[in-house]
Amino acid sequence: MSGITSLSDELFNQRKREALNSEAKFKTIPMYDLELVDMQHVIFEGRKVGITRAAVKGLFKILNIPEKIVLRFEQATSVEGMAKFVNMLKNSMKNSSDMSITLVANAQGQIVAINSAGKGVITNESFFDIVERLADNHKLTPIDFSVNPDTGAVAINAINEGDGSFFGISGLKDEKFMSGITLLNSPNKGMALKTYVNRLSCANGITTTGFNEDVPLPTLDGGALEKFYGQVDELAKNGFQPNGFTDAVRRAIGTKASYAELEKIANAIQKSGKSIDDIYMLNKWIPLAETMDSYKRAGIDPLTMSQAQKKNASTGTTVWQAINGMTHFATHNNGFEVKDYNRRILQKTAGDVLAKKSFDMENQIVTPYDNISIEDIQAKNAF
Amino acid sequence: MAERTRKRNSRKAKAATPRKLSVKPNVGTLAEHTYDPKQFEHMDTGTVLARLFAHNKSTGEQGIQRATNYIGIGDPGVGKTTVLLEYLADAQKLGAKTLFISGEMTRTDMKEYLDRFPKFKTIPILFLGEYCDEPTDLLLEEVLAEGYDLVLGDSFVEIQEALVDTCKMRTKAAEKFIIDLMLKHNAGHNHGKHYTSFIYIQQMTKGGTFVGSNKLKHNTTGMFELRHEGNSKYLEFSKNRRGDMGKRLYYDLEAIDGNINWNEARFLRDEENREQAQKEKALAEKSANDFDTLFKKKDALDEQESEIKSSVAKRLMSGEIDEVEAIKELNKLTSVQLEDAAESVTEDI
Repeated sequence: MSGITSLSDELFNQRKREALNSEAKFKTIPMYDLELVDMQHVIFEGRKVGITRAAVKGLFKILNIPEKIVLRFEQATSVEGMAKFVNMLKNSMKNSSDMSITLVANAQGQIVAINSAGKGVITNESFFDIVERLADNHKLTPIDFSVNPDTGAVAINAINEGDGSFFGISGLKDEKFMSGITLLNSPNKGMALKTYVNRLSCANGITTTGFNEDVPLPTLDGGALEKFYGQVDELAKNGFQPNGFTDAVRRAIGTKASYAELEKIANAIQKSGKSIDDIYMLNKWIPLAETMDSYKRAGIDPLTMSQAQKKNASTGTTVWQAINGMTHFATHNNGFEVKDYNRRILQKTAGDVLAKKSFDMENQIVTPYDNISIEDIQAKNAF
Repeated sequence: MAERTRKRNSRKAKAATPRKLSVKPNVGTLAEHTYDPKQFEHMDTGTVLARLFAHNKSTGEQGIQRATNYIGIGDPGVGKTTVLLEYLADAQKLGAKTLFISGEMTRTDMKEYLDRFPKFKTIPILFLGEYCDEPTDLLLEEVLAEGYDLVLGDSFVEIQEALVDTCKMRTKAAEKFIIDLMLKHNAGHNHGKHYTSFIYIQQMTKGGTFVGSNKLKHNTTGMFELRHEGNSKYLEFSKNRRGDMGKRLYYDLEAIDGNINWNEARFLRDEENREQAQKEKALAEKSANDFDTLFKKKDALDEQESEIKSSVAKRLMSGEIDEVEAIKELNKLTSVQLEDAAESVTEDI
């Protein structure tokens, strides 16, 4: 009915096996047992092991230290000084001797996440049990399934082909959507359910997170599961349509993307895949290169613009066009080598952009002074 | 004065007389004891409440078992009497002989219940208030002598006070009387040889806990509470030798077809969630073991690699191998490969 292809049972089970086999292992230890060496290594249980950036950030979050402060401390002193500072803070915390943390390690023995004890980690086996229960309760069909091979993190998009999940936007007859859910399980955040929307005209998928439809599940203890299912049931009453989505789409259609917004989207796409050497290769999806050339022809080099200036620099692309470029790249075969899991992250990033409280150019108004020549623009910029 | 002297003399006389047992103790093994299978029958009303009271995991039977005793407490207005009268009415429909001993409510008070729950009409009720001038002990003995399968007493404290008032018993003696009567009928010592089960509603302390002695607690099979939780109400067992504890059964007193609205769906969901949480605990333990194994293997591998590096260095120094060969050997090591591995492109892992 939707024209969207659902995953076969065989493929679903194959991905499930991959997820279970590549799943990171975790263990809860006393916090005092862990010492930071530098931003790439920690010592615990007498051994020095590698640690990822995400895991270090997790430690800082538990210790309530902004990362910027730590990096400044490192710049001001040394790597050893920074490590001493962090370890001193860690060991000075109130009740630090009673505190525990959960370390998550990938198959190579690298720490990929550090969480507060018992939180932020749900095994993939339990995740799949919950996914199956949700699929049964809400008649959901999986359409995408990606696994991060380094950590076993999983992202599944699923749709419900019931009537409530199809919707349009009044006044925009070409825009038709189908809503569903994205289910994520990652070793640093646990499980989460987010609403997912598929734009039917081109089958682009977007995972929406900023419309207050983010349902986290960091633990299965203490009534958390009941609360989670209750929240999901509430979302299901509205066919999983994210509240405020249609308004956000209208705003995105009616607003030009700023240079900063276009650049951010292009950068995210470029980082997602291998061999995307420059932004010209992405013109088909995000015309950042074309926009940059237009500015250069007008005598303005975007590379010399400050971030604030980029936020005020309009482009010929609407926010909606930019988002669709991103979701099209994420959802379809684009000729580049892009890991499935990174595609899901792009869909989620697109949702974050759409859910912004206000786009950069949204509050621009037409002034009596807008209709000016290129020479006048150059003269203005000379100051 | 004379009365006091008489009593004092009576106590002295009793103290002077050597005490003797009135029965011969029956000390034997359980191998010599014969159980009546009827004693283990369940009064299953087919509701989730029946399952909460008691369920036999091996046979699947559920419902209040004969010869068992329960005490329930609850917040005011939570529906203690309604919930338990419903159990009585449902058990009666399935053939159980039931009795309600009302120490708190009168016939007029009951009218409101009958309007909402017509099925309560058929339950035999003893209104204690109608026998204020009669000795309550004899009254209870006579009524119970007929033999019942399931008796509800509301409340234990009111019945106890009736005994104190009408029989001049002390409070402790009154409690003992009720317990002894309970045990007597549990054992089937009545005309119908019914192994009677009892449920007593009990009052709460100001702190919200059960009023009663340890003796009373020890003679109960289970204790349950009925509480408010926001706009909801639930029943939960805090002690239960025959069924589940710590599981909440939510309900609504708004009668649907003359029945209490039990939230069975939520109960089953909670069960599933509990099982999932327990499964997750076991999986977490396994993951912790796997974590340890992973790092033990890594330690062994690191040691091996350290030896290889050391050996390559020695062989290079001695001229046994050249630089190119040394680099080739070192590149085979896992630790070198790890440093080259690309990290995930985003912070979300």
